[in-house]
Amino acid sequence: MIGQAVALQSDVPFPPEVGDFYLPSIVPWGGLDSLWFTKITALVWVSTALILVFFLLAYRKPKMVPGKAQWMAESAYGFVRNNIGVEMLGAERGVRFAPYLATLLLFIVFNNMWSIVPIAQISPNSHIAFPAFLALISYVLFNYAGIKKFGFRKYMRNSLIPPAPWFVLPILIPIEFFSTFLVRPFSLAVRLFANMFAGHMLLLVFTLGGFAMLQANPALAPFSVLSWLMTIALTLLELLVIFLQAYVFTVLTASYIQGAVAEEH
Amino acid sequence: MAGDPPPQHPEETPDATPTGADLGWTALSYLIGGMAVWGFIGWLVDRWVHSGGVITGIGVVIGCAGGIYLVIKRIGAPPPGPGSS
Amino acid sequence: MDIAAGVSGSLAAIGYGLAAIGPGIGVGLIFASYIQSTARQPESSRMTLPFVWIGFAVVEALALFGIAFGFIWATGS
Repeated sequence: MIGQAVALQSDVPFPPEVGDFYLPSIVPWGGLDSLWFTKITALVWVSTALILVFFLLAYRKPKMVPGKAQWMAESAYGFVRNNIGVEMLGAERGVRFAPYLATLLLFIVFNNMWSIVPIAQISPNSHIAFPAFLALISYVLFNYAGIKKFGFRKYMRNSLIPPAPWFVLPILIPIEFFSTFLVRPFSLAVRLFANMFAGHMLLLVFTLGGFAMLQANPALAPFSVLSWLMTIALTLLELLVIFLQAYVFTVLTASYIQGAVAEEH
Repeated sequence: MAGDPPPQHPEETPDATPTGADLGWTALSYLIGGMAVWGFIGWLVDRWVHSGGVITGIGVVIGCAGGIYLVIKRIGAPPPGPGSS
Repeated sequence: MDIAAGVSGSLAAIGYGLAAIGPGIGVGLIFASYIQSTARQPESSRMTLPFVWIGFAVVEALALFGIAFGFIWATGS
């Protein structure tokens, strides 16, 4: 059986590289060099469709005593609304921002989940474009919330001028600007991207490493099995990281909104 | 499986205290941001004055001090008033 | 005079490794004390949390110095 496995392998692409994240186009038309529709695009479409269909079906005939689907939908939305929205933003504003936060959390979870689902096994969030755009939307949102509440000049004064004596302000204002308006969106995007990228890379290393060891020398089979067991453990870790990163992204967005609309003095 | 809602994290049951993790990220971003901004300004001045790295280092230290000051002012607690146990 | 033993490779990396020992222990001490104090008296956790971040910032500053000066002072290979 091991000999069969070795004979069936063409050259195992080990070690995995960044180029492995660029997937080929999967449309039959347009040739293989037009890359607008790859597996990544298909996965994003499927996640969006799943979220839409699930919530629409769950709320078809809402009852006072919910059935299973309605209970799941209400739990998901209620978790975001109570534990993230209302807790960080207060009762009225929390409920107002809850739809965006819930959509953000579920979209990130569903997209991240593809990294451990068989056949798909790559998360669209491991391409920087998706986390970058989500971070951009959150960035525009918290700035817009602050500007709408305070007006542009007062919002800038609140966020850029810390409570400090006037002679140290020139040192502090560039730091505040950098930290609030440059680091925040960048770190939101890169945190999600790096976690998904690294998770996928780890799974690739241990899976392909098992095959590469097997191909190089069939006597290394026990180590290949160890490598594959490590893959299973890492898949469970990836499951934790999926939920945690989605949660952190949403909580940080809510925290930034709260910081933008907070009454300073 | 793809249709499951995310389960409640064990630390986010309704009576959990907030972890303050967002404060931690803010503190780190003030520190690193301060060092990056003033290190960059120091590096620009350095290239202008050709002093070979000293002013960059001074910029980094000023930025770090500014970052720590910001952390204390923004995230630090006001000193407890008289009469508190 | 011949040098009997020397270090080749990146001295900046070795320097950063040594510089990171102290802040690593420091941050561990800060959070250990916060966890212990919260375990002894949970109501104090909200009050002591700001001091955690002040302490973290001051301790981590030195670790970040290590990274920054590792680049600024990097000479040789």
